[in-house]
Amino acid sequence: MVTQPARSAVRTTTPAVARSRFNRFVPLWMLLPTLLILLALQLYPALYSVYLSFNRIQAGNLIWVGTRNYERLFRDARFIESLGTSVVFVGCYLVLTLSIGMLIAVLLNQRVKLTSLYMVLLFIPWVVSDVVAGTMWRWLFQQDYGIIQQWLNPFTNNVSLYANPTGSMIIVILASVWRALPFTSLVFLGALQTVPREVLESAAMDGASRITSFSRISFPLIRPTFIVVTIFTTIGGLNAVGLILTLTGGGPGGATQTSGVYLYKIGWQFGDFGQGAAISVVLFLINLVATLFYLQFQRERTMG
Amino acid sequence: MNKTSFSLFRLTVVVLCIFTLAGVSGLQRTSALAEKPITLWTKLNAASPQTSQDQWLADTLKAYTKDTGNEATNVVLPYDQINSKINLAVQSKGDVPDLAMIDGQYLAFFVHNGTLMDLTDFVKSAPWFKDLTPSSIAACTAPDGKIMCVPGVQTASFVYYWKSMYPNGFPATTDDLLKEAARLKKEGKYAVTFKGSENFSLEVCYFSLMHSAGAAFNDENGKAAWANPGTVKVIEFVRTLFKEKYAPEVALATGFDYENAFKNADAGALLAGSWSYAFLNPLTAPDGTKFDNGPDSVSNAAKAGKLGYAPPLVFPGGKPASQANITGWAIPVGSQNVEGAKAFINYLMQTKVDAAFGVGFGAMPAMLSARAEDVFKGDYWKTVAEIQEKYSVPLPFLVDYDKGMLALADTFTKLVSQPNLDPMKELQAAQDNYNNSLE
Repeated sequence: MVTQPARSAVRTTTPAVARSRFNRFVPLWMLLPTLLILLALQLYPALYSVYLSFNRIQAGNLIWVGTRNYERLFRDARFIESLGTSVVFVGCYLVLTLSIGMLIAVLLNQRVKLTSLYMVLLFIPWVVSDVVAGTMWRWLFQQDYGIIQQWLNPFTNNVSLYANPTGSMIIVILASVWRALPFTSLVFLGALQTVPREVLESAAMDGASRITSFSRISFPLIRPTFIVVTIFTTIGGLNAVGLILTLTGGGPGGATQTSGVYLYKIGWQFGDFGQGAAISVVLFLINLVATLFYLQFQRERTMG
Repeated sequence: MNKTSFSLFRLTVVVLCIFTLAGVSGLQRTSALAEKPITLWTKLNAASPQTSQDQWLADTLKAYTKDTGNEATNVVLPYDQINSKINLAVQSKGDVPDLAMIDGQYLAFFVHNGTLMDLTDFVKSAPWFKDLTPSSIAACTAPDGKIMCVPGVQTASFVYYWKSMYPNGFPATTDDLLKEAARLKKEGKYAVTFKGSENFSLEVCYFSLMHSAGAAFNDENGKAAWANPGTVKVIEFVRTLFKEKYAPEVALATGFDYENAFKNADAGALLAGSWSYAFLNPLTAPDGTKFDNGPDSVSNAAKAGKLGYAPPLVFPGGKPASQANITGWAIPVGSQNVEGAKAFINYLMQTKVDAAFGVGFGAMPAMLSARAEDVFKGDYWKTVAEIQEKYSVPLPFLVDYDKGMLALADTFTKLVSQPNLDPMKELQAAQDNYNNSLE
């Protein structure tokens, strides 16, 4: 009679099982440095900002004031005005960036000669910093030596555009669109290149025009990318500060003072960090609502 | 674990250790820095001097090291960021400088935020205290009587003008200016240029007009009180200047582009401050004579009989007013080397050093003995001293000074660039908004 060896009461793990379990956690170990940095540099400051928005700082000490910063904020006509300015700025910036970006992407997708050169030239605004871009655009409209101002003088009766409320807003929008075009064009170009050429060719054979092909075939296929770019562009527009500060400083007379610029002035220039934090929380909520709105819109279109 | 996974794991641990060590050594370096002699924050570029102001500091730091054997390190910050950065450093309990250069109009901002140390005992017991002008001490004194800074120089606002464009001298009143402006417009020139935006516009360019029109900035409690007929009168006058193109529109923009019109003799006069001469270079007189001598351009143009100085502009029947302001030195809360900072202040408050500060900065020294130096006997300095003596008026007392002045300045710009708006209504709205926003 062959006896079976007694089964051990303790469950043992084979080396293969242990290796498998360990390998499952290796990706987490690899991600750990990035996660720690994200926690330290993004999550912690964000949570601290929320906490700061309920405080006031005096001589380095935090003093709890409850919702007083928010009450003062929503009573502040200049903040409400800055929200209005942001709406105008973001609206124009969004429409121009998306439409011109898409147009450039469609043109580049034709793969004509020197496409590579055009892409390099297109990328120049992207590699220039906000401060350099703002200074450059300010010089272009400088009264005495600005090239564009000199061209425009006969039409504007020598009025300096960036000293004028409407003119300065136009310049700020144009400069911001110029900076954002490389990103939007490139992303749209990448999306357009995923559209199957056979589909477009058969549509052409069926007599569809280019516009019809784009609107009925290409655009629906790249809609998810379009939504994502819209989200990024909206957030970028709402949070824009550097370019506007360099170009106009939020002036003249607050004409280009968006909420982001107002936040900078309240927090940094006036030293009211608590109220500055309150503005940042409000802007975060606006960004969040806008993002959820776009995503919901995308979901409804997909399901519809 | 297979070899590849274990190697990756070890690599991760090594990378984490490197970051940790880098952070720790940074902390040690910060601690080491705190033990070195004083660090000062100023808006002057001593390492690469661009103006006479920068050069003064560069020379003074070298002389300080030579005379005392101690080091003083300057950190240059932009003029429009230095105050917020000092405040930020103190509030965040971060890297606070031992000593900071401050302008008197920001004293209220610093007092409101508790940024500066009380220097009352230090100043009153100093050997140079009795040598300071009373108005310069007043500009450094908080409403509760505490002395929060040490004045170095005292500035004045006045007018630079091209003599050939104003052959009878710069007009004293607004009515006379409008007559001359109509004449200059026919010649294709602006009558005047100035900074018509931000706090500077109110502190320097509109200050005298506001006072001579009987306008008030604030009430006795530091709340805004600028919605009054006097302020409306100033706005109507400024509107006329721009509507009739007696002043360039660029004056309403942020920045300093408005100076070019005077430097190129496109404008007959510049409403500015005594320190502005350090930046008015190069100059081209109306007859084409060029002056490109750095900070000496203005004085050379004056000596050549091309350029003149005049007191600030007023409404008829009013008296000129020049902001009683100082640039001086303060010790932020949290300074690691208070004794070193005080020793440096004592060095700066010597007659010769303070006199050099005045010449380099473009302002009268705060010390009376320094004002007696021969260099201040020239026409330019006589004009500055006379304006200070006769026309000095304290800056507005607003609880949240920076916010209040910017709110009023923006309202001015808005009303000027949109002439259809009702001035009293807009001023009242800005006043109510500011007062309601106070804590």
